[in-house]
Amino acid sequence: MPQRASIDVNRSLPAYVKVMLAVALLAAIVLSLLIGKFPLSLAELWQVLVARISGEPLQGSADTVIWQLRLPRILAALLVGASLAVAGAAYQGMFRNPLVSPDILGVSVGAGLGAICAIFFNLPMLLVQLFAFVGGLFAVAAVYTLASLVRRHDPVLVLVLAGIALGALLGAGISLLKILADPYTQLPTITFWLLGGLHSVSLSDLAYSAPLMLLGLTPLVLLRWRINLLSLSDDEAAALGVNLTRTRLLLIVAATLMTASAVSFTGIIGWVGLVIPHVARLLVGPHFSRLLPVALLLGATFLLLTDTLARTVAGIELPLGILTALVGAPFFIYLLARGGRT
Amino acid sequence: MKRRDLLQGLLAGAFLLTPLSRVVAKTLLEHNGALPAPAAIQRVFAAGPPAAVFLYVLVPEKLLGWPMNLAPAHLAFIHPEQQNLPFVGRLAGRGSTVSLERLLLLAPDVIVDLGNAGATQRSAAQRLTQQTGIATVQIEGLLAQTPQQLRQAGALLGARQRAEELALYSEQLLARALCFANKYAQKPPKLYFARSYDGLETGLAGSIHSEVLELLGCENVAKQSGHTGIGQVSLEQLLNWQPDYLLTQDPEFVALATTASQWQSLSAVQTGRVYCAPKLPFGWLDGPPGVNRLLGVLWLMALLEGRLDGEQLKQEVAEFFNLFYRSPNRSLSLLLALGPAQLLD
Repeated sequence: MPQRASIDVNRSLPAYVKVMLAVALLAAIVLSLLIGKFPLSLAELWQVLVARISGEPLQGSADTVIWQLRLPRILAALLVGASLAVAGAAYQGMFRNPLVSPDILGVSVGAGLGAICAIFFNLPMLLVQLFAFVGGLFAVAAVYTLASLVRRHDPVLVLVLAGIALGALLGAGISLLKILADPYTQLPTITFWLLGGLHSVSLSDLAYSAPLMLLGLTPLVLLRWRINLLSLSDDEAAALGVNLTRTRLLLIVAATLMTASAVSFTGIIGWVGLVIPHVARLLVGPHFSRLLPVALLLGATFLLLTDTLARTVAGIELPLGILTALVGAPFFIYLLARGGRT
Repeated sequence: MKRRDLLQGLLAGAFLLTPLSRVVAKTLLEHNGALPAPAAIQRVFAAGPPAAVFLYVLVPEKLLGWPMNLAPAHLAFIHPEQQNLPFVGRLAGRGSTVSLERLLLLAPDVIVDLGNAGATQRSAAQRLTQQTGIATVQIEGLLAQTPQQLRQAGALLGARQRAEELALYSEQLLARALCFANKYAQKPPKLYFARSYDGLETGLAGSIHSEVLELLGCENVAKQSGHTGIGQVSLEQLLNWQPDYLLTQDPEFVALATTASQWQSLSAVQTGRVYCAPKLPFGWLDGPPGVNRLLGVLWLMALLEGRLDGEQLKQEVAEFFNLFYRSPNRSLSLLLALGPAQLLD
């Protein structure tokens, strides 16, 4: 969205927007806790929650369902949704391009190649996740290094182009492994990984990924004013005394950390990082300090609702990557059409 | 007179092409192009892994190469003459990894594929025959139809005797499986067949990936009406289903299920009923979905009767390896020493 950021930084988020977003998020969490494939009554749910909080957890499946399966999954959906949406919002501002998503610098393809290598060599789950995480970081580091070697062009444009080129290269690697993989055992696993999903999330996944995602989020929150300046033209930002290269690098590191740690245990989840920032912008405008909290809350709510659908609508789990687009696209088109009329 | 013969021939040909004829003749074979006489078929190309296993057991000397890469651990159980066959790639429409030129260079008399083909696959095979002039044969059918598949393909490929030998064995085994299924018909054991590194991918009930389970009358807990492929499930669903046994072919999954805390609420995990099926030289339960799964029938019967470590299974498995795979003596003695339960990859 190449509109100029308005500089009236003092205008904070309208109260009704805050309330609406918070209520939507809470409602989504409660709804998601209530429904699932393991039938639990409201009373059972309450007992299990209270028992664990009062320090005497109940024994049995109900406790496992709530504390080991549903709550970690809800938490993961919130964190991943928020991370992808915020990373997308930051990138769209930085690259001054509305079509940019968090994987523009190759983090998803890199993670994909890493994970698929691990699946191809029949490695255990932990290594699949580690390979994915490291692959994502490596891909972005390679893109950044490549781009910094080129000095003659606009640095932002070079970054995007380097990302596209390396993405194509790594994508070819993924395709090659798909062709070589055992079509009866490995290929389905690879396909499911590339479609994303939260069905295997456990507390131990969150234990390592949540701190990383929060670590990535912190600089974005702290520097929300300065990130805003990145969406101005280079000359204007430089005139304001901002070190563009350093800010840009910091932003890339933060967004990559968030996306890579999310993707490492969920697989590739598209669409959230591309469209949620647009929805947020339609609601509160392009100013990053206002966009950030809205994108964060919207992303979390959206992914939680989609994942709740993914685990309840059919007898089996539906891949999240399919549902995010299926649910998100019509809603986005509706918002666009409405915005066009007014 | 000649013209009448020709007309009759054409009519018969047209009749053979209609689906009705397949019902009448109960044929599981479908072919494109002119087939050479059975005795003249010397070189056969396996279009994919299930066909390769099928041809390896039926007409090993005519197999041109392997469509999949076989690791040394797998090759150890293959007859020395087929150990050195080249890796040639597979033919699967757009997913093919063998080039048509390489295929022509290999000059097979016929290309054989195994499995239930859809319209896309059929038209791809037709096109392949038009392009290369090589006849293609599609062998349809389920695991339970293995004897018919063997006999019909044996007649076509000039290996009637070998086919009869294998078909008789398969018939006996399938009859045993039927008896077994009847025994448990009142209360079938509930099984979950875990795939992939996280164990949450599974072959759904009714799919070719869980045929062994269903052949023995077991209940596959993962059901989805209208969908019989591979699907993803969640642990929450598994807790709801509470299968009696968890099966897998992936040792990594056994490690995960027995150590990760979230799996401990499953009664099958608590009672130690997590079993990893061997996959040498080909998967015993699945992967590829071919005649190799007859071994899975033997293994699963032994498992459910609690005699996985017994002598009987060892002997049965050794007999199968001898008859079907013609395994070298050295690996057979290894097999007997280890016992099939330890035959992991």
